[in-house]
Amino acid sequence: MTMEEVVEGISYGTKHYESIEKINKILLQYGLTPNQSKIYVHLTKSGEKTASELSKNLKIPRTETYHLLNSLEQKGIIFSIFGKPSRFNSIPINEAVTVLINNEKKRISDLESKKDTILSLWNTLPEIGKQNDDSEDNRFQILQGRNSILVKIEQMTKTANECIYILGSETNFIRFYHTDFVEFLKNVRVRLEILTTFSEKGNYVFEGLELENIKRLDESHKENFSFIIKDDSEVLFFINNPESEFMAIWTDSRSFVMTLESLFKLIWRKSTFVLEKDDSSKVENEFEHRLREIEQEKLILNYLQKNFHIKNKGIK
Amino acid sequence: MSDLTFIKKELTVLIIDDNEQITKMISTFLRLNNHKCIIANDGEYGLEILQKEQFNVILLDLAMPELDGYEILEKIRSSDKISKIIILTASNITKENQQKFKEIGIKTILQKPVDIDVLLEKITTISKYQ
Repeated sequence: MTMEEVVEGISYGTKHYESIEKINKILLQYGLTPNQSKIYVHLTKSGEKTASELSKNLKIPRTETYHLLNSLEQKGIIFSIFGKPSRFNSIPINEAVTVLINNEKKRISDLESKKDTILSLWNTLPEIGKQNDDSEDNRFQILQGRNSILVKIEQMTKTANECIYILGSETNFIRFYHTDFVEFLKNVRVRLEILTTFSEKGNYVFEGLELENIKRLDESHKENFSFIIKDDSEVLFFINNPESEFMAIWTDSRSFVMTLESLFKLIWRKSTFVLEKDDSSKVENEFEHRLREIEQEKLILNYLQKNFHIKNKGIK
Repeated sequence: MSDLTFIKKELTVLIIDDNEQITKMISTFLRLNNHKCIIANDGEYGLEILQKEQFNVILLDLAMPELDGYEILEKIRSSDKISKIIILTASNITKENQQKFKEIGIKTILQKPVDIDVLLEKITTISKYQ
C-alpha cells in the first residue's frame, strides 16, 4: 500500500481512495468546505473522535478544527458527546444529505424573502454622479459553471420576442441533461430552430421537443462551436475547454450577434430536418421500392401467362 | 393505351399508380377476370376521376410524384369512398401510418409484391361490403 492510499488516518484501497475523493468533491457542491467535508467523511467512516484526534489525523490545525466542528454542528450533520474531552460523531450520510439540501432550500427561501427589502432600501439611495445607463456600449459577461449558464438560458428563452436559434453538438447539450434546459425550450413561444448533430446515441437530450424544429448539423461542424441566439439582440457562446469548468460568454454586441445569426441561417438553409432521411437511405429506399415494383410486375406476368396463356406479344 | 380505359364487366376498379407497367398489367388481369378498370397514372388525375365517378374498388399507390397517395387520402378522408380503397404500394409503411390508415377507415393495406390471388380476393372482399 502506498502512502497516498493511507488517507487521513484511515487505510483505503486505491478504488476506495478515489471514491472518497469523489465524495469530498460532491459534498463541496452541498455547501461544505473541503475541510468540513474531510471531517464529516472521517467521522462517518471511523466513528466518534475528539477534536484533538481529528486535528492530528486530518492534519488540520487544532483551532481551525474546533471552528470546523462548530460549523458542522450548526449545519446539523455532526453532534458532540459530552465528556472530558468532548467527542464528536456524525449523522448517517442519507440523513446528512437531506439536511444539507434542506439547508440550501431554506437559504434560497430566505434570499427570496429578502428581495423586496433590498430593493426598497436600494431605491432610497441617491444616485451619485451616475453616467447614462442607456449607452450603446456592447456588454459582455463571462459565465462559469452549468448553473449560471442555465440561468442565462432561462432568461433568454423567457424574454425572446421573435426567435431562438440554437447551434451545437449534442455533447454540449448533454451537459444540461437532467436540468430544466429542455423545459425552457418547450416553453418558448416564438420561432425555435435547433441545429445539432442529433445522433442515435445522443438525441435523447432533445426528447420532448418538436422534431420539426430540429435540423441535422453536418459532422464537419461538430465540436467546433455552440451558441444560442435570442432575437437579433443577444448571443450565448459556449467555450469548449475540457481542462476547465463549463464556460460561456454572453453578449449583446450587435456585430457579434449578426455574424453568428448569418452563420446560423446559412447552415440552417443547407441542412436537412432530422425527420428527413439522409441521401444514402433515400437511395436505398428507392432501390427497394423499384425492386418490389419489378417483383410485382413479374408476379402479374406469371399469373397472366399461367392462367391466360399470354405470349410475348399479347393474349392468345 | 389512353389514361382512361373502360371495360364493361362486374366490378369497376380505379387504379391510381404512376407505374404504367403495373397499371396495364393489373387492368389486363382484372379485365380477364370480368371487371372493368379506369387507370390514372398520376395523383392529380386520379383524384379528379375519384371525385367525379363511382367505383366499387380503388387501388391506390402511395409514392407518386406531385400529388401522392397520402395527399389524396387527406383530401377524401371524410368521403365514403375511403372504405373502397385498397392501398397497394411498394413503399415501406410505418406502424404509425398503418394505424392512421385504419383510423380513417381503410381496411386493406398491401405491400408489393402481392400475390395476384390475394389481390383478387381483397378486391372481391371490399366490393362485398357495398
